[in-house]
Amino acid sequence: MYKGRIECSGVGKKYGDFTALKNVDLLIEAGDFLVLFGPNGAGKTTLLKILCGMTRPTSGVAKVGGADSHSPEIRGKIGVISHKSYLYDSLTAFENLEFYGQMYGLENPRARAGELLETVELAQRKDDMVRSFSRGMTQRLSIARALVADPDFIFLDEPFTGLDHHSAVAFQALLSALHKRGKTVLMITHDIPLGVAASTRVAILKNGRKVFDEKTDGLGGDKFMKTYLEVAGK
Amino acid sequence: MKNTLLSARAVLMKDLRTEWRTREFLGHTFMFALLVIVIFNFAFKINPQNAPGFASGILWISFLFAGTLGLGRSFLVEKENDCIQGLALSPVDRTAIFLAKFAGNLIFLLIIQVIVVPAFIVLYNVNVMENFFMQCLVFLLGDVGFMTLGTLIAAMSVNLKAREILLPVLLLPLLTPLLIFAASATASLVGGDDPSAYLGRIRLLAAFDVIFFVVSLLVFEYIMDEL
Repeated sequence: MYKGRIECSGVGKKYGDFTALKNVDLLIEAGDFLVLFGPNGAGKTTLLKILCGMTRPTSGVAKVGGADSHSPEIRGKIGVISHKSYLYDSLTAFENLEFYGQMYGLENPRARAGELLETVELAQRKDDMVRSFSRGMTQRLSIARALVADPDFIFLDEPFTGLDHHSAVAFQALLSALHKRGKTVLMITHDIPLGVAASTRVAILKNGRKVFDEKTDGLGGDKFMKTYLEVAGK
Repeated sequence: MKNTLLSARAVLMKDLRTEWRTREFLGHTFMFALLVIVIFNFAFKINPQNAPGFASGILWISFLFAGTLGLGRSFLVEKENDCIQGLALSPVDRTAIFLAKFAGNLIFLLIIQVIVVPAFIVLYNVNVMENFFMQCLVFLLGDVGFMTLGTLIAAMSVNLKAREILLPVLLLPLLTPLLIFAASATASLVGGDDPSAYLGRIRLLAAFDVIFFVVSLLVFEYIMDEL
């Protein structure tokens, strides 16, 4: 079932002389929730950028939903949530979602914007400028932005950055709900307890290589923390 | 093609709406362009003999300075919260983003010109718009070439730390031939020269525009990949 699957085969990426990724093989099945851990500079964000078509690998093949990750048609099936919101401060919450709806070619972006604002509980603030939003509200709106085209794949890069504990837990609940709806999720985080709790699989990248990849079943947060420190801390 | 134009319109409307709310671009560039023509008014003694050359030079310098200032900002708004990545992630044809930014920059420069040219006529008492339609055509062709190349270079330099310096350093040498033809065509029109004096330059301006536009459309996708 290629529709919701992500495949990396021998993926490498170089920036000049610096090698960010080396020969990474990764298979994420449809409906998986994979959390990618690793120390800073391990190549996690580079891998995510390759998978969402923001940059091309220098070697290997990255496929999302059976298509080259750089193809425009697959970009429409991916929603990306980062610690940067990709939202315009000088536009209202509604205008931001309407704009992204137009960019994804929706037939009725205004209706979709309204619906998503209800989903992330920001309908009452729809006419407020994003610059007036708290970090937690901005991140909720960022989720709405990523969901504007109802994507099959959701990629998250450090989504908990700057969120207080309460907002992080609420955010995680939203993610779990999305995962239950059959979305394939790939998340990068340094928050091991939250990441392990949300995931169905965990992997560790170190120095551009995949050094660990297992199902989360039976792998508690504490046990994984030890594994992480052993593997990534060497 | 229809989708590309619809996406371009969405980006353009978003940019115009943002500018209308912040008025960052128009306020600064208008004051800057006006300042240039006011300072030159005190520096030069313009008489009917030297009016064509001076008028053309002063006007195009003010357009160049104001336009370059605006170009720097056109992609900078997309750096806010990394919105440029949000655009790059959307499934739109990248040329839609180029077309929108180009159109936005062109509209802003035209607005500046609509204000600066009458101010120039009043300050210098030189009617640069005597041959109204031809002069408008020269301005438009010059603007299109300037903004096509400028939009491309602005996109290339947006991630650079020294972008404010690098944008004019990269842009001006490439723009020099176009500016020479535009300024000399304007001078010929102000001086009331024979049409043969400016029609050739207008054709060259049109040729530059076509070349710049086609090359920019072809190259822009690769630039977006690196943003």
